[in-house]
Amino acid sequence: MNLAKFNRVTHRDIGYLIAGLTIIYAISGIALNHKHDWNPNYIIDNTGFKTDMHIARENINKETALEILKKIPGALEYKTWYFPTGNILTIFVEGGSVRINTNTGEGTIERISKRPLFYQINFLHYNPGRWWKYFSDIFCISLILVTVTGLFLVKGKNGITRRGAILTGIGIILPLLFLFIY
Amino acid sequence: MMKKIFSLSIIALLVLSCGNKGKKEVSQNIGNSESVKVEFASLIANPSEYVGKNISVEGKVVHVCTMSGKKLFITGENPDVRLYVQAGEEMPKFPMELLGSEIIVEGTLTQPVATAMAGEEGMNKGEGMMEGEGMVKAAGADTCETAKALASQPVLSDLMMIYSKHAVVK
Repeated sequence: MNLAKFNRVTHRDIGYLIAGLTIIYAISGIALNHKHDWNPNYIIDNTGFKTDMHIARENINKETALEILKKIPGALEYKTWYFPTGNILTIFVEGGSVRINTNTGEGTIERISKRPLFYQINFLHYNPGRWWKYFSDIFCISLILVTVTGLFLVKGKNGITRRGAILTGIGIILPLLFLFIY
Repeated sequence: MMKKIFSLSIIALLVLSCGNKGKKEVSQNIGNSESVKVEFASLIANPSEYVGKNISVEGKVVHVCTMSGKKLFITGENPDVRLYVQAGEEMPKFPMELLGSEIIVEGTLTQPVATAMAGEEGMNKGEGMMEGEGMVKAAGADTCETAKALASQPVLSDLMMIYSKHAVVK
């Protein structure tokens, strides 16, 4: 096998191997890139309500928390309650929480659910464990290999010595420009 | 053959999406040191006694960071005093299902450098308690809910726990 064929075969086979993971990292990369604009992992739904119940700190216990939940719209399954200093009572329910301002009676039901697909791919992107870290390292090395072998795939006017050189140069200059600007 | 491989990949992805409900216990072996079981009240009374030690403490989860998923707070009997627990680099994220659950969390109690410096600058408010500003620096000063919560309420001393294991009690 000559060098050109070895290069092509390496590029092709590693490319096939890492196609799925590249897409996973790329999609979660976009999602995480915009994490200040949206929550890529969870769908958080907040619904406001108002209750006329008089809620006194000294009366709060599991029974009163259950009573409060009964008067709030939606079937909410009680877990526990939390009432630190201040006027915000939190009742934790399955899949979220209920927060009530005990002075005004105004409250919010917060329901949290995993964002389908994104939760899973973001989980992988965040390196969930030691073995995934090593796996990701192999993936990154493979990505470098695919890129480098890709540079030498085509010969002639579209190869790395002519058109390829210009495009590769642009690809290197662009991040350098950003570095210079920032 | 190709159709079979493609179909299996899609099915695997869908199964992965539907599963992952949050494990009851997550752990990682960091060294072989046994943890010392500590009551939350003891931790409040003498937090400095446990710095650098591997401890396990039980508490109620009152906040889980929805952004990074690697930070949570637990409280004991006093709801105003919370312990900041952070998952290390190699630990998976805390599932949101932990919110409102009683958990036993095991890990090393640490004093981040940022807060130690904040303490030297006179930012500590009192024995075992401080306003969260220094801790926000330790948390990376990001804009997630956990960092905001740290800034608005007192936290157990200027400490945090880098956890290695947690188990849901109820």
